[in-house]
Amino acid sequence: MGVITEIFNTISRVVVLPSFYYMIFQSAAPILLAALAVAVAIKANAINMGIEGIMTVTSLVCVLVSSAVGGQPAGGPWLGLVVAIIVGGLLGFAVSVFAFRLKIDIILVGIAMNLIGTGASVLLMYVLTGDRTTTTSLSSGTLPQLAIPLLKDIPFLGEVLSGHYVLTYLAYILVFVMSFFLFKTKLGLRIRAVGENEEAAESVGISSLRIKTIALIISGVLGGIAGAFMSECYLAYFSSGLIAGRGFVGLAACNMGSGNPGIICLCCLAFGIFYAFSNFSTLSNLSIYALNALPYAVVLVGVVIYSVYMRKKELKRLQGLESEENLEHGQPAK
Amino acid sequence: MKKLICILLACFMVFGLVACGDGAAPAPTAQPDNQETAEPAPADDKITIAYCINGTRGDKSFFDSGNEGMEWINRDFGDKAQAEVIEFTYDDTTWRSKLENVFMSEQYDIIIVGTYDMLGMTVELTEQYPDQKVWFYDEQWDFEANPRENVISLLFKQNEGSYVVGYMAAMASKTNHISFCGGMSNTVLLDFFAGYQQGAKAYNPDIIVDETWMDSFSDPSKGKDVASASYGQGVDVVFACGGSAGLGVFEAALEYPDVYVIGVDGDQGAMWEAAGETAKAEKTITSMTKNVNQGFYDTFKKELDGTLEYGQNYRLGVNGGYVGAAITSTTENVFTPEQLQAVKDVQAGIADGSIVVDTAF
Repeated sequence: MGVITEIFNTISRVVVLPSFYYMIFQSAAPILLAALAVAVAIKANAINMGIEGIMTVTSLVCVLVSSAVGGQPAGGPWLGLVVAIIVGGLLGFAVSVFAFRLKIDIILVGIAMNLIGTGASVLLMYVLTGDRTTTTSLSSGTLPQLAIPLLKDIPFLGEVLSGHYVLTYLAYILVFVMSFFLFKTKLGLRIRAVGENEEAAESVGISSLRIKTIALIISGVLGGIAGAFMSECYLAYFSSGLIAGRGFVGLAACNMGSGNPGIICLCCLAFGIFYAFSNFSTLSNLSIYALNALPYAVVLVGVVIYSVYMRKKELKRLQGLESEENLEHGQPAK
Repeated sequence: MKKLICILLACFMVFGLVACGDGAAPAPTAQPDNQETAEPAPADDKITIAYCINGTRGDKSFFDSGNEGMEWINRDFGDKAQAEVIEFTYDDTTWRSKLENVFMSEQYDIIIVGTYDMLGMTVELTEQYPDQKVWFYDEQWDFEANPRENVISLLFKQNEGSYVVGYMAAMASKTNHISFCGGMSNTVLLDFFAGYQQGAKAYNPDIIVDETWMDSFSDPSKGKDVASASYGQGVDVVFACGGSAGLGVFEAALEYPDVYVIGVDGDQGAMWEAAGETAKAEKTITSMTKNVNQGFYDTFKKELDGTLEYGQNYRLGVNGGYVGAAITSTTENVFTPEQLQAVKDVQAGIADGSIVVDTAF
């Protein structure tokens, strides 16, 4: 009983705070970027499991580049972002080379990428900065926060929607861009065609290898943006535990959304709501472990519900096909 | 194309090996005409110490402070002692075998190991190796259940230091609402909280003290979010208490006006100042220092004198300066001299026993 009242008390206290909603949008953004990165690859039937590793490496790289050119005043964060995007693209390309040219199982490549990402980033950090856990000794700076004119003056809404980091806005804009890209452009169509049926795509002259490689490079680029988000927006430095499974949550969100950017965005926001809630609730009766597991539990439950729903839908479709066939053969449908 | 990729990969792997080797040890080690440095003779007359870190150096607080203690011992007693630091890294699945290796090697007179995570395996290993001296730090050793003649346990009275900074937090708070932002909820961290809460209530009985947990010692983004949530709810002083995850609290403080942070373990205000991050230094009103370095150093001096008695707990508190509140220029700007005097009185009160601090042990 006490727990339930506690939850209600926390909810009623939290829903009126603009900073609560602000945190939802901010904490969902890196997961959204990661999920979109996975989505592009998955549409081409290439699973980019290594997204966590790509994010780790790129988040370190952009901090190093930014501080090397002089940090915030010299525009270092922007250059860091560009380099992170390039490195992310290269890592995506590396995944495709290992998986499709050297014929290694793409799941194994992903796992290797995650392991190398954590190891190499710590090694690189130690060799270049002498630090082993964080790069706080470097002043790499952050990308700017945008105050949106007009919107920022609206009392409640302004505090929630204005003043986010550039990349937060970019993440939500990318939802529309990726929808358009995947469903309305020639390359997007080819990516989906290769993902649906490789042989059929090959038979009409599409090189599935090329399309998959391109999809993985785009995936890497988005992973690079996600990495830069963590070390140049969320925080102003890199730390070895910084990514903390966000790439994996992105993978789950992508599966829940079946690679559809709009649904992915909703899944990420759902995660963000529970994540923010777990941060805002202070302890008395609530168990901290239950609270911190809550966002992940929600993702898990979501995946289960989604797959059950999809299976029912598929069954219905098959039944429909059957009855259509029956009609064609002159037999009444049951 | 395939060949080219194979060659490139081979080059990459060789480079990787070289790079890894570089990180572990400098390449030119085996120089025949320089045998003394290449192979240090087993020092029979020297006391050898292995300080086992279940993590790595560079956490800017706890392990680094212990590492400094080892450096002091090597510097001041280089002729009598040789202290080494062994990093177990954060992969907790390997800790057990690594610690067992250190015990089995029988190279060290004293093994220093600590924290809650290492307690169980150390209890077992000290029974298997009854002649191996072990200093166990930062967690209560139950000598009644596990009597060991070869073990001492060094406990830092973090509750006493936390009492002092809790008192200061209540003094600095204008909203009468402060919070504690812990790493993971274990007895040591709860001990921090117990002292912090009591200290704050001692200054202002009506103050609200929130208890929040990051559930991580390594993810600063989680620390930032938890602290942002607190600041967003009207808290104006947060005690950041959780390794490198706690560093995220300082990031959150930058985004809110008129809020403060209290650091932990090391003097984090001085650390930000030294790193050129003045904005963060100005948010850090004090740090609860846990002088692991001083603790190890003084214990080693006792060992040399032969006054160290094994088989018991040593509790290191405000008395002796093992825990306390760091004073930086920010501290002097935020607090008036009278207030700082009051803080000193509180410290003196704890040291002479007139103030009894709650503990979670």
